Formats: sequence, structure tokens, C-alpha cells
Amino acid sequence: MVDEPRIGVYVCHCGRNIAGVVNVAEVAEYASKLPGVVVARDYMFMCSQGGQQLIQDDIRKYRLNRIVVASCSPNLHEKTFRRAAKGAGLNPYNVHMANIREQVAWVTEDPEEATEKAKALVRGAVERVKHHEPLEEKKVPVKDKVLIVGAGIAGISAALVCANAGKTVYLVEKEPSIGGMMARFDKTFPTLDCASCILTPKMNEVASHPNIKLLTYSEVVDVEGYVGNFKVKIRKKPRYIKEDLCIGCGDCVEACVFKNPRFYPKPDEWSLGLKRRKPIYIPFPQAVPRVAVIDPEACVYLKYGKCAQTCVKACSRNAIDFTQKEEIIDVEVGAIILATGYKTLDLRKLPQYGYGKYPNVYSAPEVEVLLNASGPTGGEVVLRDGRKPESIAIIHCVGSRDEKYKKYCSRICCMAALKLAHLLHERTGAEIYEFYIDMRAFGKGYEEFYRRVAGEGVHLIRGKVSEITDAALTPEEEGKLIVRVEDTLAGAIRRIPVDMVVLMPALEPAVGSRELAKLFGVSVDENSWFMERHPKLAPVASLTDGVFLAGCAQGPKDIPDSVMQAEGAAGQALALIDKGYVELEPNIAYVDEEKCSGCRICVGLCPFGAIEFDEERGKARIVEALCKGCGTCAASCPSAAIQQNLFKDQQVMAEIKGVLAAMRGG
Amino acid sequence: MKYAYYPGCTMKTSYPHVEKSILALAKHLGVNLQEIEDWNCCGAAEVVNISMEASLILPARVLSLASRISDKVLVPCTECLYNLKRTLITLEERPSLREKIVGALEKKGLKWKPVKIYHPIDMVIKDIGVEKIKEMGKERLKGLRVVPYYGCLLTRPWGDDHPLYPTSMDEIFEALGAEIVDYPLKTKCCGAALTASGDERGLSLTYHLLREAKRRKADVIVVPCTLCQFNLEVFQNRIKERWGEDVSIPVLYFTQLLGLALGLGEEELGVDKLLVPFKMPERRGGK
Amino acid sequence: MSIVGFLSEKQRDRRFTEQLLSSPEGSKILECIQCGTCSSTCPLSHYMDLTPRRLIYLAREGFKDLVLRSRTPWICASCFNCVVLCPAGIDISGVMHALRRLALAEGTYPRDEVIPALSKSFYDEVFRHGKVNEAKVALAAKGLRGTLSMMGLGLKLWRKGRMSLSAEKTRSPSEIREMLREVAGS
Ligand code: SF4
Ligand code: SF4
Ligand code: SF4
Repeated sequence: MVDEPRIGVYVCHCGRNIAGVVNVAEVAEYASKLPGVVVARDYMFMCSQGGQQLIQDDIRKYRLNRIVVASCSPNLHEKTFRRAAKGAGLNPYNVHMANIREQVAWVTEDPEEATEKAKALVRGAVERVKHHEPLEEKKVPVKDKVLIVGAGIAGISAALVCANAGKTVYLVEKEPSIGGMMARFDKTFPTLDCASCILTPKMNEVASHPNIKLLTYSEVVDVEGYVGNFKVKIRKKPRYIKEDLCIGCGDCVEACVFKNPRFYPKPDEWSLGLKRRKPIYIPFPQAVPRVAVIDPEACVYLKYGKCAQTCVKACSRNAIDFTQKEEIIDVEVGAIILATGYKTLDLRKLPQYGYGKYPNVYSAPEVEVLLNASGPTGGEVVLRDGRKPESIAIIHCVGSRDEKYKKYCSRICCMAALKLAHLLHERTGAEIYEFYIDMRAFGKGYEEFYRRVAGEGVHLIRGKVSEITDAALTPEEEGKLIVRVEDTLAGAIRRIPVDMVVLMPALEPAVGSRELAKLFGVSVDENSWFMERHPKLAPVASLTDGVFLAGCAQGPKDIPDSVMQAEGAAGQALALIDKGYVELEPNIAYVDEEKCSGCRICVGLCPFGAIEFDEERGKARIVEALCKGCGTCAASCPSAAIQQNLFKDQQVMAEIKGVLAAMRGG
Repeated sequence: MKYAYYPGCTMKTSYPHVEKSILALAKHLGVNLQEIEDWNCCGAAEVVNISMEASLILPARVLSLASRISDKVLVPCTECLYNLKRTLITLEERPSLREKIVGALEKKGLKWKPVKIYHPIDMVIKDIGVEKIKEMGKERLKGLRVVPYYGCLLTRPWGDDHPLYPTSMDEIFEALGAEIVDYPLKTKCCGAALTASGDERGLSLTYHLLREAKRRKADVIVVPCTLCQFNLEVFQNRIKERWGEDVSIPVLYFTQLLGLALGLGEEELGVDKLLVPFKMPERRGGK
Repeated sequence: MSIVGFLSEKQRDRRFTEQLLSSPEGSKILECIQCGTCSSTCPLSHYMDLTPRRLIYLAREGFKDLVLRSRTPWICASCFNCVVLCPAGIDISGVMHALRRLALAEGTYPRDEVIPALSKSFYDEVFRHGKVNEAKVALAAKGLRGTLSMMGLGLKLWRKGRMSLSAEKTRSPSEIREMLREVAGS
């Protein structure tokens, strides 16, 4: 204890959140009698202006030197109360919070029990705060560069904002071209504007922007450091093409030894397997960078070491280079934006819809490609069996809103389905049946779009389809795919034979999201989407400082929402960088040399390499600038020689003792 | 391998031909079946309509008696299978019901000890293995187009296989040389719950199943359920009368076709007692 | 079942909904999202006066009379398609069983369906003998006309040794009887 403690305790009602269960007045009354406590109060909303003012007035009036706020999780308002204390001239680290909302009120039913528990936590906090001492924040300069992972519409939008603000942006994309899912669409809802007309200019802007370093066909492999100072390793896969020489003329592709499209070695990624591709290819006509790429798993030369190499001969610019190796690129950035997007649910997990069994059952993304003027049929709707469909069923909520697959609504499929209905009708004149559970048309212009498509004569049938079958009951059903459904609005069962079925699959996080989350130290929710710091108040920040989220990586979103979040994330990144420095919690660890026995256990354990060993003196030493305050060393030192600010042994022990004393009814 | 064997009521009165095949096959495979002493009715589909508790105590008594013999009970009727599994699961999940049921058992000196519940298909797959069956079978079913029809209760709501698209029988009979017909109705209800009472609504389902099998040029339907065997077989004439369509096709219980594939005789498998006769491929003149 | 006129609040019976909610099978019906998957997959829904989805809906709203007079629970074949596919995890077949029990207890089941009578005589048979000869019970439940129409078939089966009308019994039916009385009270 540094000085005589004069403690103020503030118990928050949090509206009815806490006061609905905990008897806050009783807790305040209890606190006021604890040794060292000068004043204790309860108040409706401690975080409000009035609440903060109350603390500041008390500090001045009663010369308080310690503050305990019993309210919500420190995650939410620790900063608020520290700032308030600082405003009244108190060192902010003399404030401590007892979480009586999440840890008490929300999880305890019985009011009496809850009140007792709250008292115990408050007493623990009071005992602890006595041992707090003034600390200074660490100010660290921020690198003025941004890393953006994923170059779909979200990543592209964020990159352009940051780059236009004059910051260097490293835009990393694992595919050979940027553009993401949107590059596969022909039109976008609700305006039906041409997707490539709005996306291609942005993609080209990215390619030519002096501040954007585009790293396609690349993946982040390692991340170190902390907010403002991240060190990132990026692996760039070899394309076997010199990017600076290739002009994307396609002569090499033309010349490749594979000639018969039926025997091309690989399904084409961009068109989702609707056609096959050669080992050397340009992903799609509007690809950025418009540079060829060679797939080492399919290239005859790279696989067998022998080939006529007609591609090399065809390239007038000598851009082909079979000796290219993967490259590791190190960058240092101040902020990171994750925009890794989504993928659609594997439809083979729902065998009832016959995907993969019946050739004319399609996934929605496949149909997007089919409708695309750059697609395998030039935008013509031709079925896998060569026919033109005369009737088409579009099925919503495939794997969404379903306990057995994804419990959530995937948000984009209702509108995407309406768009597909419109386009398919326009291109084929087919009878279109759309099967939905609820039509979710919440966005700007969406309801109007719904009406427009309904007005075009699409059959909108409210009922979830349970199965697609080819077991015909009547001659009209022969050779068709049959949909049996309850038309819930008519209250009757219908059997509808169709030529084509389009499934609207649930969205799920992109491949490798979990690994990526680990790499960047961000949390994921129960469905593996990256978790935002707060669903309403901090929707673009992750739980890790300096790492922001954009687009579907955080949860299903349509294009307008993705762009919005991306530009928001860019704004947050810029705000961080332009401030120029970050203040780090002074929760670093230090070694008490007297006690250190020189065993070196801590040196190997520190995940941030922040512990040095002074050979001469035989003692460990912690490099302040590197310590992130994780506490690993403090917990592992067998001689108890390491202490960590804000988590000192005496502080923690005092808190425990306080809680126990209260529980014993002291 | 020792099993407690629970035949169920109907096995004795209506399906002695099926039971023959089960016993013959078990013997052939070296499986020791010991019939549960003094077993009772499982409650079928009806008792649960009267009382939930009654529908639990009946299977519970059976399971308790079975546990005296082995930790595995073999159940060839899928309705019984369902009731036994339902009891096991309900008693585990609902402590209040468990207390009541176990209490009543104990009063009669019966101990409650959960046992594993096997259908003959489970027995073949888990205890014998498809590889071994393949070896023993010598592709005797070559040239035979088989519809493995699973019905409702083998895989639903609980089973090891996919509830809608199971493949266990497909695998077994494919290994025996048969050609498996792609049959989208393989787990569709046969309507037995209603046809048994002579209901046309149920009969229409039977009709669709048979019709689809014919449409796909199947030679035989193989089923895991005695009630399905009955239902799909005995109403073929009536369906013809009602819908004017010939749907005649032999319907064999799982162990009957498996027995034949392993070289057992028609008579020991009760195959001679079918209403729609079935002949093995090599003996069907011409083919 | 067509509903004409107002569905009056007086027709709603909260206790009925609560009864269902507290049955082992009906605990989740409030979570139904009315998607119709159950009716879509149900092989018999086109014969039902209320589709399974509508039945669940009316049941949770408490329209006891409409629900307990419906044919639907008696048409349900307990095939469990709906249960496997329901996105809300509702035990629809189970709900059908619960509704059958309630309809039998209230005497509101449709008189021209066979299953209600069959269930009762089946239960009596189990109660008396511990075992059941299903063919016998079925014949009894169907009445004279139904029985006659089955005669030809029965004869064929009998010749193959696949039909017996003998009464089966456990060794001591009274044991079963006492157990049933204890847990089910009848
Ligand atoms: S957006 Fe529509 S189709 Fe997609 S999951 Fe939600 S309700 Fe279903
Ligand atoms: S499938 Fe389930 S959620 Fe859908 S209507 Fe039927 S009971 Fe309700
Ligand atoms: S269990 Fe009953 S309600 Fe459900 S699908 Fe089968 S027949 Fe229909």
C-alpha cells in the first residue's frame, strides 16, 4: 500500500439489467462499511455523463484516491471510467471494476443470491484496489501502412479508401485474380446493374493505384507484433509467368498442347467447374492482374519434366519462366483488415436435393456464372444435358435457418433468388417457381424489387421444399425433376415437375477461416464467422486491437453492406494510423532481480520473445517494448521473481481474500 | 458372439418363414442367438396411442430380460427396433419417466441395464463385416437387379446409416455381386401402418413403391422389416385390381436374400413360402 | 378442414397447448417456423384434412377442438420423414402420438378411422395376454365387411403357414398387467 486508501465505490443499476436482480442499494450500503471506503453510492447509469460527473465530484470533494465501479464487463466501460478518473486528476490505473452484470445479474436467478455474490465481488475489488498504484501508459508509434487480406468487393473497397488517403496498402489475395465472388455475377440486386460494369473499374483502379501493392496468388503465413506494429509474412506462390512482362494476350493459353476442351485437365475455378481449363490460363476475361498463370499440378512440363512447351514458343514477350520459386515477402503494418469473404455450403451434405446426382440441379453461384456473359455459354442458359429449360424451380433457405446445418438466415439469398428468377425468366422465358419460407426484403429498394419480380409473373410459393426426385407418378412428370411442396398459403400439397432446379445454399466462412483467425488472433463466433467487438457499437473492430473486419468474413452480407463495412473498417484503420501512436496498457511484466535464480524457464515460454537473458549477471530481463502483458512468465516463474503490473501477486491475492471474506459472511 | 434374440409377436404368428431365415443365417455365420425367455409385446405402433408410460414399460421389460443374456439384443422387426431404441433414449433423457419405469420393473425383480440394440443388418456389418460376406458369397447374385428398400424405421429417427439415403444394404448386396438399382424411394413409407387396416391411402404408397421398382427394371426388392415384407408382397394383386397395373415382383426379407447369396437353400430360408416366387439368377432359365 | 367464419378467442384453450408443451414429444412446438417442410416430405399429407404444419400451428395457438377432431394424427404413418428434416427440431410424429392420446381420452377422434379402435383393442390384448396376435386384432377392429374382403388373402397366407389366429400369451400375463396398471394406471 502506497498511501492511505480513500476509496469510492459506485454500484450501477444499468437500468433494470442489474437492479432487476441485484439489490443495488444494499450492495452500496454494504460497501460503505468496508474499511478504506469513504463513500459508496448506487446510480441508474454509471456510464452516463451524470454518473461520470458523480465520480469526479466525489474525487474532488472527498479526496478519493481509489475508485471501484461495480457494473458491467470492463471490456465495455473500463476506458470510460479510467478517463473520468483522469479528468478529476486521479491516475486512471487506480480504478478497478467489479463485473456484477455479466457475472452476476445475467446469470443468477435468485435475487438474494445475486446480491450476496455482488457484495463479494465488490469486496474483492475494494481489497484489490488498495494495492493499485499509479502507472504510466506506454506510447508506441504506429506504422502507417495497412494490410488487407482478401480482395473481393470488401477488400477492394477498403483498399481504395486507405490508398486514397495516402497510405500504403498491401492487398493480399489467394486466388490469381482479385474480384472474389462478385466477379462471377452478371447483375446485382436490386438495381440490376451490371456487376462487371461496377466492379471492373474498381479492380483496375486497384491495379494501377500507386499506393496499392497487390499481392495475388499469395497467402499470409505468419503474423507477429501488436496494434500499430504488426510484422507479417506473406507467401507468394509462383505463377511461372513474369508478371511484369506478361500483357495478358492469351497467346500462350491458345498455344498450350491441350486442344480438346473435354480433356482439359482441371475444372475451371472461376466458372465453378461448369467448364474445364488448361494448365495455363487467365482466370477470366476481366481478371486483375491480367496475367496468365500455370497450374503446376496440371502442367505437363512441371509434372513430368517434358513437354513441347508450345506456350513458351508462343509468348512473344518471353514471360514464361518455369524456374520461378515461391517468394516470402515481409511487411510491417500498423493496421490489418480481414476481408476473406464466404463460401457456400457444400450441397452434397443435403442429399435430399439431388445436387451432384441430377445434372440439372444447380447451386446459385453456378447459375450466376451460367448467366454471366463471360461464362462458359456466353450468358445463354443451357442445361448440363444441352436442353433449354422451360420450367425452373428456385429453392430458398437450403441449409439456412435449419438446426441441422446453419441456424442463421444467410441474408442474401432471398434477394439473389429474386434476381435469378428475373434473369432466368428474361433469358429463357421459362415458367419460374420460387419456393421461400419468408421473403426477407429489408434493404433499400429491396421490397420494391420484390414487387417488381412478383409483377413479372414469377410463381412465389410459400413453402420449403423437402426433396427433389425423379420418381415420376404421371406421364407429365416423366423425365422431369419433381418438387413436392406444401403451398402453405393455399394450405395444399403441390407436385410441380420442372426442368431445372436452382438451390440457394447457406453461406459459411471461407475455407481456412479458422486457421486465419488463429493466425491473426481474432475470435470467431459459434459458426466460425470472425467476431466483431460489439454487434452494434463496434461492428468493424475485431476483439484484437488493430485488426478490423470487412464483408462476409464477419457474417453473411450483401454487396451494399459489405462495401459499407469495408469503408468503415478503412476509416477505423486510418484513424488509428493518423493518430500516430498507440497507448498500450502498462500491464507489462518485470523481473525482481533479487529473486531471479537464473533458471531461464521464462525465456523459452514468452510467446513474444520479450525476455532476454543477461549472461553476465545470470538474470532474466524483460524488454518492455516487446512485452504484451500476457502473463505467461509471471505464472511460470518458480521463484515468483516476475510480477506483472495490474496483476501483481498482492493485488490478486487481496482480491481473492476479499471475495472469500465476504462469502464467509464477514 | 452371443445375442439375446427378440423375435416380437408377429414373427411367430405371421412370419415363421422369415424367422427360419434368420435362424439359419445366424447358424451359418456362427452367431449364437438365444431367444429371450418369456418376452412380451413391444407395444407396436398402438400402445403409445393409449399411454406413453405403457409404451415404455413394455420394451423396458424386454430389454431388461435381454440384459440377462447378453449386452446385445437382435431385433429383426423394425417396429420393435424403434420401440426398444425409443425406450432406451427416453429413459436416458427423461429422469422422471426413468424413475417411474425402472421402479415398476424393480418391483417385479427386473433390473434395468441398457443393452445395445442390433438389427440383423448391424450384426452383419459390425460383427461379420462386408469383406467376409463378400468372400463367402462368391458373387452368387451376379446378374440380379436388386432394390434395397429400407423403409422408415430402420434409419429413422435413430440409426447408424443416413436417415434418408442409407447405403448399408446397398454395400452388402453389391459385395455379393448384385446390381443395385438407383431407387429414390428407398426410405419412403410403404404405408403399412394404414394398409394393414385395409386403407387405400396406405395402399397408394405401396403402389408407388412397387411401380417405381418395376419402372427401374428391378428383379427383386429386399427389405429389413417384416411388416414391409408383408405389405409390399401380399397386396400386389389388390393393387392390380385397383390401379390396373401389374406390379408383381418378389419381396424378400434381408436375411432371406443374404442366405441365398451365401448358398443356403430356399426351404431353410422360407423362400418357398413367398406368395410371389423368387428364383436365384443362375436358375432363371435363359438369363 | 376448412375453417369458415371467425376463429374466436373463446375457441382457444391454453391448457391444451400447455399439455402438449409438457408432453415428452411436444416441448418444442412453439419454435416451429411454419416452413412446411414436414408437409412437403410427408407421404400422406395430401390425404390429411390439416397438413402437419397447420396442425402444429393450430395446436400451439390452442385450437383444441379443431386439432383433436382432425383426421391427421390418425393418417400419420409415423414414418419420421418430417422429424428428420424439420429445421426447428420438432418431433412432429411424436406430437401426432400425443394428440392421439388426447383425442382418445376426450373421445373426439373421427369415428370412421380404424386406428383409434385398433389401438384400443390392441392395448386390451396386451393388457390381457402380454403378447398380441396382430392379425387377430386387426380383423376384429375392421368389422365384418372389412374382414370378409380380407378373407381370400388370409386363406392364401394360411396355406403358406403365414397366418395364425391362435392367441399368444406370456407365461404370466398378470405380471405385465400389474406393471401396466402401475405406470399407466389402467
Ligand atoms: S435470406 Fe431468405 S433464403 Fe436466405 S436464409 Fe434468409 S430467409 Fe432463407
Ligand atoms: S418442418 Fe418443423 S418448423 Fe417446418 S412447419 Fe413443420 S414442424 Fe414447423
Ligand atoms: S411421421 Fe407422420 S406426419 Fe411425419 S411425415 Fe411421416 S406420415 Fe407424415
